[in-house]
Amino acid sequence: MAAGAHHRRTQAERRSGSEDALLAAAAELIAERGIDRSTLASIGERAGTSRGLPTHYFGTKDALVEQLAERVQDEIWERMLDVVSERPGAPDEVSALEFIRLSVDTYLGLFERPTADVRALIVMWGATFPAEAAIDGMRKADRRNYEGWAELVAAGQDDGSIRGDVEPGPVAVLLTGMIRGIAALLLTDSDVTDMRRVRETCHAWITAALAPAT
Amino acid sequence: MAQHPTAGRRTQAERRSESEDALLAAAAELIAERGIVGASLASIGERAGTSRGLPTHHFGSKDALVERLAGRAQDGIREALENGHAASAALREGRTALESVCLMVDVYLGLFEDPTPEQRALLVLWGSTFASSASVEVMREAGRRSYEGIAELVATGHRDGSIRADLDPGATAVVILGMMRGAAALLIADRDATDMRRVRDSCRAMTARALGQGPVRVGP
Repeated sequence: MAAGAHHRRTQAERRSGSEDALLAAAAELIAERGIDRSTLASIGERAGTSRGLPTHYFGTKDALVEQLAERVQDEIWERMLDVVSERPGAPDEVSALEFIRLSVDTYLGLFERPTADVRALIVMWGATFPAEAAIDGMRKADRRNYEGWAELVAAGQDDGSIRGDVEPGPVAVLLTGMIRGIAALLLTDSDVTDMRRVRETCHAWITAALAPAT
Repeated sequence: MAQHPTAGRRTQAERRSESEDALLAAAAELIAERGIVGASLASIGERAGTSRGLPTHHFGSKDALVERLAGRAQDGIREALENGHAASAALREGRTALESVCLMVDVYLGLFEDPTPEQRALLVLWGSTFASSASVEVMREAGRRSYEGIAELVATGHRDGSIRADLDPGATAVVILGMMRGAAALLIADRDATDMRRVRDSCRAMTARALGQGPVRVGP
């Protein structure tokens, strides 16, 4: 086995290669047409695999949506971490408030020229608005996302960069709502304003809203 | 014509507007429940208790129906915001622009604690415009009106001194509108994820701090 492994991909690798291709195809189709009009079969076709492969892999569209939402959220968090580590100075000197400001700025920057992945994330979010929407996968991914923001707010209260009288849970919803809402406004009407000013305003808004009173 | 024995009988225009109301109410319900794709013209006619063909006859196309619904829902929300302002007795006199912004955020999020089908449908319609091939014209108009209204309020706040002068009105309007719609959408999408009331309070208090120059009255 060891000898052949250099040249032959393992089953797990092949699986992950097609999984990537399917998720990339799903992101493209969902970003273009929305969830309702992206069938599992059409995703297989776009990926250049069989029409049946998405069902074989993910079982249901909801499971695929959950995987895609998680993948995109993870990519975004990784991008945020990169930005923080590229910043001059030691990463552990970055306060939680500064981390939040950089993260929000990075997030909004992604929507200046959105990839299929980040657009698909917003489209999937939009699909959760109807009362009977069966998109639990997106909701699950969102709850984990809130937890990430809430932890950051709590960390800021510990390191003294965020005022003690705000509640991490509601602030997490507010921040998520704000950046998604702005992203959605930009996706639907990019002429409405100057993106650089919006990013600066968010920076100032978050500072004034969250920093301890002096 | 006016002297005709039509008193007590509905005119054709009245009947037409009544069925339009019924169709739009049914459309709001179905779209709020299932989304645009799931709400066919035929199912809207059925829900309204009319014929399945009436919506097509009346509106011509689903796009035209959606446009009417979006306009009506937007007007309804604007009216609710105005009523909220009028009802806020404590702040009725000498209210600053910042207080008006905070009140707007509060009343708007309050609507989504228990939204009518029409209010929810408006968010659903917004949500369905995010895909790149979606037609966004209808919502763009409605969005621009809200955006311009908020930008004007921020500019008023610069004049009355209640809002920090270094905040650009247009960019601030985008941030506030994004926050309001985004938070409302997250709350209707997952009621159990968090406490609506606390999110609403946080949005109001943080907006007051973010825009203000110092301590402000933010209570309803």
